[in-house]
Amino acid sequence: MAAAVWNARNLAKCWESAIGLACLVLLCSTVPILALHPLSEADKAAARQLFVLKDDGSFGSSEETYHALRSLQVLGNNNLDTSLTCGFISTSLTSSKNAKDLFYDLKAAEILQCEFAEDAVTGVVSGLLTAAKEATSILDYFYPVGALVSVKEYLSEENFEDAKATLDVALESIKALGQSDGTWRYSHKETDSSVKAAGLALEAAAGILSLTGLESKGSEINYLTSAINKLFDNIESYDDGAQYFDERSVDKVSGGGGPLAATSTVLRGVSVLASIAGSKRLKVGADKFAGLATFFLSMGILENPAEAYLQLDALGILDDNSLIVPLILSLPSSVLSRTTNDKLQVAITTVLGSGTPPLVVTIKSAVPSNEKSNSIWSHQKLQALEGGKFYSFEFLSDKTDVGKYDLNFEISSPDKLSRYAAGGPLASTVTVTGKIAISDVEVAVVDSDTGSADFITKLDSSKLLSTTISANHLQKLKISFEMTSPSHAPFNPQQVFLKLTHESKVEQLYLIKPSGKHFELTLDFLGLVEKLYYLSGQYKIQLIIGDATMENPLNWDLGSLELDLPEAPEGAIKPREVAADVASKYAPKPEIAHIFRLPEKRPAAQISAGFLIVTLLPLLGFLFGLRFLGANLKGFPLSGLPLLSALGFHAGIASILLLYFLFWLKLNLFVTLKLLGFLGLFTVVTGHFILSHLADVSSKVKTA
Amino acid sequence: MGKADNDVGALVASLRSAYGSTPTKLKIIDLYVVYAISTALVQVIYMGLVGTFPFNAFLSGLLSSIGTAVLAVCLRMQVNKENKEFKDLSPERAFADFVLCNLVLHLVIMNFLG
Repeated sequence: MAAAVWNARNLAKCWESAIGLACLVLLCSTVPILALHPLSEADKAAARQLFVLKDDGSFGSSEETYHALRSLQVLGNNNLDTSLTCGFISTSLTSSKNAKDLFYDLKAAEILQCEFAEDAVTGVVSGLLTAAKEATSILDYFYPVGALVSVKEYLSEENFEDAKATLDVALESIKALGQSDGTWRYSHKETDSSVKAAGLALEAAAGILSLTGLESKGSEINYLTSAINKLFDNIESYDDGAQYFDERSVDKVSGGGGPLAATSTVLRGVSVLASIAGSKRLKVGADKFAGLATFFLSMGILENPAEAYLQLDALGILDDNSLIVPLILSLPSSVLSRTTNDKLQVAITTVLGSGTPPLVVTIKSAVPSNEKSNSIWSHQKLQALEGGKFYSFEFLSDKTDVGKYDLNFEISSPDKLSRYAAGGPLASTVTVTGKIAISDVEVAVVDSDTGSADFITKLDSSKLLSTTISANHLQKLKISFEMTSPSHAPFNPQQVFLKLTHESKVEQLYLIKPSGKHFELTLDFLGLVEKLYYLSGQYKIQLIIGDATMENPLNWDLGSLELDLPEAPEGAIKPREVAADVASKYAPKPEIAHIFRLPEKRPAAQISAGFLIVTLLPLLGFLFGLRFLGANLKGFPLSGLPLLSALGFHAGIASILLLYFLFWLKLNLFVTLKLLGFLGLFTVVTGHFILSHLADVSSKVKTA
Repeated sequence: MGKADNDVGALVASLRSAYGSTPTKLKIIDLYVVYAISTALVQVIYMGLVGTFPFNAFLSGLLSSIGTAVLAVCLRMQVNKENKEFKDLSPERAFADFVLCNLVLHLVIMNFLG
C-alpha cells in the first residue's frame, strides 16, 4: 500500500518532468491482470438496490415481481414483508387472465411459499390445461406448463389422466420444433431457430416430465440430452475464457435480450432438466460451466433490473445445481510482504461467494512474471483453514525474492462424485514486496581533466542526512550507490532518478542506470551548461527511488550544490517559465466566450420611412415621364399564342422577382436556386416565343 | 454676359431640337436611366445624412440602382439604330440580354442584402 501511495505521488512528480510519459509506461506495466472474483457483499448490496418494493407489495407487473423476488432470493439476506407481497400475488392470481401472468404469479408465490385458497387455484389449473391444449408455439407451452409445475399438487385424481394426455401431446409438439443443431424454432411458422427458444423448450419439456413422470419417456429424454450436447458443442467463447450462447436473428425479433438472455435461459433449462431427469444422463464438461461462470461474473452487476435478473438467476443456478458447481479462486490480498512475513491466502468459493466441502488445492507452479525462469514452487498442497473457504500456504521463503509471480493452481475434490469442479487450471498473480537495502551512497566532485576527486562524501541511507557541496563547470558530479533485495540479489527498481532543482525552480531530472547492484551517475557540467541554462547558484539534489515491490521508497534530499557556471552567451535559450504547480499547469484554460458584434445605432423609424418615400419619388417621375413621352402598350399582342406567351413572359419575370423577395425574407440559396431553375426555364421559353414574334413583326414592317 | 446667355440658350435649344429627333424608344430608356441614377442619388444622400449602417443593405441598394442604369445604357447602345456596331443584333435579342442580366444581378444583390 505504501508503495502504491508513493507511486501515485511520484506519478504527479513525473508529470512535471519531460519524461512523464516514460514514467506512465513503467507504471502501467505493473497494473495486475484483472482476476475473477465471486460476487462480493458490495455487489450484492448494489444489486438489491435495483429492485424497489412498491406500496402494494409488488415490484411492478407480475413479471417484474417474479424477477425481483428470484433475484433477491439469489442475493439472500433480504428483509421482505412476505404477507404483503403474497397479498398482491393472490389478487393478481384471481384477476390474471393469461398464462404468462399466471406463470409469474405462481413462480413468485413458490419463492415466498404463499398460501392460497384451494378453490382459487383449482380454477387456475383448468385454465392452464386449456391454454396448454391450445398452444402452438414454444412460449404458449412454456408459460402454462411452468405454471402447472408450481401447482402440481392441485391436479386432482380425476383430471390427472386428461392432463397427462394433453401434456404428452405438448411434449411431442415441443420435440417436433427442435432442430438438428440443438436449437429450437418458436413455432411452425418460423423458419429460423433460436438458442433462447431451446432454453425455454428444455425447461418446458422438463416441466412436462416432472408432471407426467419419467416412465416410458426414454426416447424423449435422449432427444433432449443430445440437443443439450449439441448446444454446448456450438458454444462461443471470449479470449478471457468466458463462454456464452450467441443470439440468433429470430431472437432479435421476438423479445431479444442478447447473448445474456440466450445463455441464461439455456442454463436454466439444462439445470431444470438435470434436476428432473438426473444429472448422470447429461454429460456437460466442467470447463463449460466455468466458462459460463466467467461470462456472468465478468460483466459486473447490470443496471437494468430485467438484465440483472437474467444474470442473477444464472448465477443462482451456477451456485447450486445438480450438475456442476463451478469454483472461483480469488486472492483476498494479492500483495505479500516479506517484512511482515505474510502467508499466501486463497479463497475457493462458488460464484456467489459461499464455501465448499473440503477440497485439495495445490500450487502447480509459481513463476516470476518478468523473467521466464524456473518455477519456485511446484505441486505444493495448500492448507485448508476453518470455514471451508480459505486455504493458506507459506509462500515466502529465502528463495522468494521481491517481484511479481504468476501462480497456477489446481483444485481437486477428494470426493470423486462431487459436483464442485474448477473446470481447468486457475491462474492468479501475487506481488511480493520487501525492504530494499541502499548502501555505499557516495557523492563526489571530480575534476574533468585529471579525474581525481576534489571532494568526496559518504552518506548513510538509514539517516537520510544531507551534505553541501560546490562545483564549477570544469568538474563532474558523481553519485553512486548499491541496492540489494532482501535475498541479496541485485534489485532494479522501476524508477531511479536524480533531480536537480535550481533556486529559480528550474528542474532537471536524470535517470540512473544500474550495472548489477551498482548504480552510478556522472554529470559532466561542461556538457550540461546549455541544458542547465547557464544558471549558477544553489541547486537542491534529490534522489528518487520507487518500485511497486519496494516497501521503503525514497525521496531523499541529498543536499545542496553550489554550482558556478560561466555567463550565458548571446542568444542562449532561456528556461521556460515554470508553472506554480501541476494543477494550474493542467487546469482548464479560461473559457473563450463568443462576442457578437453589437448593432450600431439606427436612425428613428420616421426618418427611414421618410427616405423610403423619397426613394420611390424617382419611380413616380419615371411614370410621369413615360406619360409625357406618350409611351403606350399598343405593341402588346392582342390574341392567340403571342398574347399567352407575352403574359407568361411577364408573369415569369414577376414570379422570379417575387422569389428573390422570398429569398431575402426566408428561403435559403438551395431552395431558391431550385425554384429559380423552373421559373427561369418557363420565362426563357415564353420570352423566346414573344420576342421572336416581335422580331418577325418588325422585320415584316421593314420589308413592307 | 448677354452674349454668353444667348450662346447657352442657343446651345440648349439646338440640343433640344437634336434630342427631339431621337426615337421614343430610346427616350424611354434614357428616362429609365435617369430614374435609376436618381434612386441611387437618394440613397447616397441618405447615407450622407444618416450613416452607412447596415452597410450591406446600403451597398446592395446602391449597386442595384447603378447596375440597372449601366445595363440600361448597354441596352440603349444596342438598340440605337445609328450605332452601326450592333446593326446585326435585333432589339429583341438586346432586350432579352437586358432582362437576363438584370435577373442575375438581382440574385446576387438579394444574396448580398443579408
